[in-house]
Amino acid sequence: MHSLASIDIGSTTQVVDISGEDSTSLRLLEMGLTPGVEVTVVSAAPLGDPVELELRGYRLSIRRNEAARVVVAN
Amino acid sequence: MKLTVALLGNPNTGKSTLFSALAGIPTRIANYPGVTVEEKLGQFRHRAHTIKLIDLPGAYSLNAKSPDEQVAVDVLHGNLPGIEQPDCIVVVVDATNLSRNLYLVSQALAIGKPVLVALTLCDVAESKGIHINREKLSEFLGCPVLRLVAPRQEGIEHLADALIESSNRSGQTHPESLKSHLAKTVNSDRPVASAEAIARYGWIDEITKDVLSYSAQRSRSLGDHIDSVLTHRLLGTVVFALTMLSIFSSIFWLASPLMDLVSEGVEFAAGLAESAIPDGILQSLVVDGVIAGVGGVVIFLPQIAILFLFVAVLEGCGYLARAAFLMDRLLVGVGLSGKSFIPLLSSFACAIPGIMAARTIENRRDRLLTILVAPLMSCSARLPVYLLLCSAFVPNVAVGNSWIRLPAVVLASMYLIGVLVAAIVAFILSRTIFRGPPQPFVLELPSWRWPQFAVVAERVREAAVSFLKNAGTLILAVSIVVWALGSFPRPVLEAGANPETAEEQGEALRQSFLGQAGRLIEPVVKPLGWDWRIGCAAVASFPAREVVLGVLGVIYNLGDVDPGEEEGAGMLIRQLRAATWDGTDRKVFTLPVALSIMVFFALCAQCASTLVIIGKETASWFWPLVSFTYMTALAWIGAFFVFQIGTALGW
Repeated sequence: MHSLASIDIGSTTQVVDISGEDSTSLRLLEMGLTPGVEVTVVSAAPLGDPVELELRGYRLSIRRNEAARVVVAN
Repeated sequence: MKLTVALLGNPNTGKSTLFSALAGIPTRIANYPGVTVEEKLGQFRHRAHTIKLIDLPGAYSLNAKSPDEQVAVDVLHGNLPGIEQPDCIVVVVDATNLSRNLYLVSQALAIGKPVLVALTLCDVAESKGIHINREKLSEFLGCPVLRLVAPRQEGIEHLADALIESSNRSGQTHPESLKSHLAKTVNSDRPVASAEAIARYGWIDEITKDVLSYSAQRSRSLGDHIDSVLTHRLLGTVVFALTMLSIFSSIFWLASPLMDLVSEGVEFAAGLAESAIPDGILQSLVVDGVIAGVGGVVIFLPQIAILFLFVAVLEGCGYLARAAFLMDRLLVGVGLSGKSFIPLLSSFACAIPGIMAARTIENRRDRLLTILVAPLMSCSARLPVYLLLCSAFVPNVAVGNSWIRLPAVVLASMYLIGVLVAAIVAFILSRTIFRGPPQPFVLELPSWRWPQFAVVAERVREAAVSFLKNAGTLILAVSIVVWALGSFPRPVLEAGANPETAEEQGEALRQSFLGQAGRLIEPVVKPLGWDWRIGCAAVASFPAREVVLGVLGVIYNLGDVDPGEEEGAGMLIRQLRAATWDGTDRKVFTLPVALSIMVFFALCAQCASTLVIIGKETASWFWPLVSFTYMTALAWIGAFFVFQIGTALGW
C-alpha cells in the first residue's frame, strides 16, 4: 500500500482511504481527500516538508506525516 | 422589518469583501465572550428593512476543530449569549473550488434556517474555464444560488433582495438526495463523523457531475504560472527572501519620514504646552509626563499602519499561505509552525502588530507560543540603544583580516541572540508546558486574486484604532506614574541654585523615588556590572524602552538627550565613557558592561504596550505576567553571563 508521502512530485493518483480515526483523519476527509478522489502531488517545500497537493480543483498543503495517512492506489 | 443574517464560508472566499460591500464599516468589532475570536457585526438598510449582518470566522466544517469554527457553530445554533440566532444564513462559496465549498453548504442546510448560496470569485473561475450551472445547482441544494462579483458590486442588489425574500420562507428543507446519502452511513464501521464526511462528498460528487463543466481549452492560468515559480524549491525561496527583505526594510524607510512628522508634531505640542502653562509641576506633568509618554507611543503608529498594510495585501492576494508553506519545516523544528513566520518577522519592527498578526494562527497552542516569543525579536526601539553603546564602547576594529567591523558584528549578534533565545524557549515550552498532540497543518493555498482595497483599508484602520486606543490608555497612565516617580519628592536644592541646569536636574532625579529605587536595586544589578544610575535607567525604561537614552542623559546631568541629535549623542557618549563608580576612579562602562546592557535590553520585556496587547490578544492577565517574568529573568541571566564571562576574558 502506498501513501501520499511516497508519491513522486508531479504524479497523480487516487485516494483509497485515510488511516486513523482521530481529528486529523476527519479533517483530511473533510478537506476532500475521500476514497476515490484524484489527487496530484504538485510540489514540496525546500526542505521536503510540507507537500502541496491539487485535488477537487484547489491546492492544499499538508505535512509529510499527515500525507502518510493518505492511502493511495499504486 | 428587522432581519439577522449570518455570513458563513470557507476562509479566503471573499466574505470580508462581501461584508464591506453590504454593510460598509463594521458597527462593532469585539471579542466573543470568553474567547479571543473576533466578532464582527454590521448593519444596513434595504427597501425599508434593517438587516443585521454577522461576519462569522472562516470555517471549513461545522465539526469544529478550532475556536474560530466553534464560534461559527455556536452563533448559527443560537448558543452564544448576547447574539441572537440568525434568521437566515448566507454561505459564501468560492466558485473556483465548488466541490470542497459545498461541504460546508451541506452542513448549513441541516440547521433548518433559510440558506442562500452566494457564489464569489466567479470572474476568477471563468478565467480558469470553470462553468457552473446555477439553476441546476439551486435545484439540487433546494435554495437560491446567486452570482456575485463583489469588487464591482455586481449582484449585491439581488442578494439583498433575496435576503428579504428568505424571511418569508418557512425554513430550510434538507435535500432528499443528501438525506439518502447520509442514511447509508448507518452500516459503516467508521466513526460517525468520518462516515458522514464521505457520504457528504458522495452527494457532492453527484451534484458536480451535473453542474460543473470545463471549457474545452482549459489552459494554465496566470495564477498557475505564478505558483509554479513561487513554490519552486529554489526560485520560490529566493522570491520569498526578497519579498520579506523588502517588506522589512520598507517598514523602516517608509515609516521614517512619517515618524519624523509625528515627532515634530509631538515637539510642537510640547512647545505649545510650555508656553501656555506657567512653569511648575503642572507644566512638567503635561510636557514631560503626558506628551513625552504618549508621544513615545504614537510615534510607532506609522510603522504599525505600514506593517498591517503589507500583511493585509499579502493575505488578500494569497501570498501569506505560500509563505507559511515555505517556512513550515524550519519552524516545526523549534516547536512552532509556518503560520508563525509573518507574526515573528513583523516583530522585528515592532512586537505589537506582530502579536496582533498572530490571529491568523488557529491552533491555540501555536498561537500562544508565537505570542510569547515574539517580543524576543529585537524591535526597532532597541536599535538606538544598540547603536549608541556599540559606537561608544565596541572598538572599531576589523574582524580578523576581513572588511567586517566589530561593532557591526556585535549589532548583528544582538539580533541573533533574540532569535536564538526565542527558538530555545519555543523548543522547551513545546516539549513541556505546551506539550500536546501535534495539530494538523492542513493549509489551503488559495488561488491568486487581487486584494480588495476595501478589505485592506479596513484591516489597517482596525489595527491603527485598536493600537491607539489600547496602548494609548495604559501607556498614558504608566507615563504619568513614571513621571511622578521621577519628579517626587521635590528636590532639596541649595539656596540660590537654578533648578533648570543640567546638574540640578540630575540631582533632582537622584533624590526622587526613581533615583531611590535605582539605588535600592543596586545590589541586584551589581553582578551585571551596573551602577545605580544604569539600574535607574533600566527601571525607568520598563514602561517603554525608548526612554532609556533620555533618562541616561538626565542622570548623567545632560538634561534630556535627543539621541537623534549628533551633539546630544556625542555628549552622552563622552559622559558615559567618563563615568566612574561613586567615590572611586574606576570606570563604570567597560566593554562587558556595555554588552551586558545590550543583552539585557535584547531580552527584557520593557514595553508596557506590548504587555497590554498580549493581555488583549490572550484575553487574560496571566500571559502578560508570564511574559514579563520570564523575559526579565532571562535578561538578567543573559546580562550576568555576558558581563562575568566578558570580564573574566579581559575584554
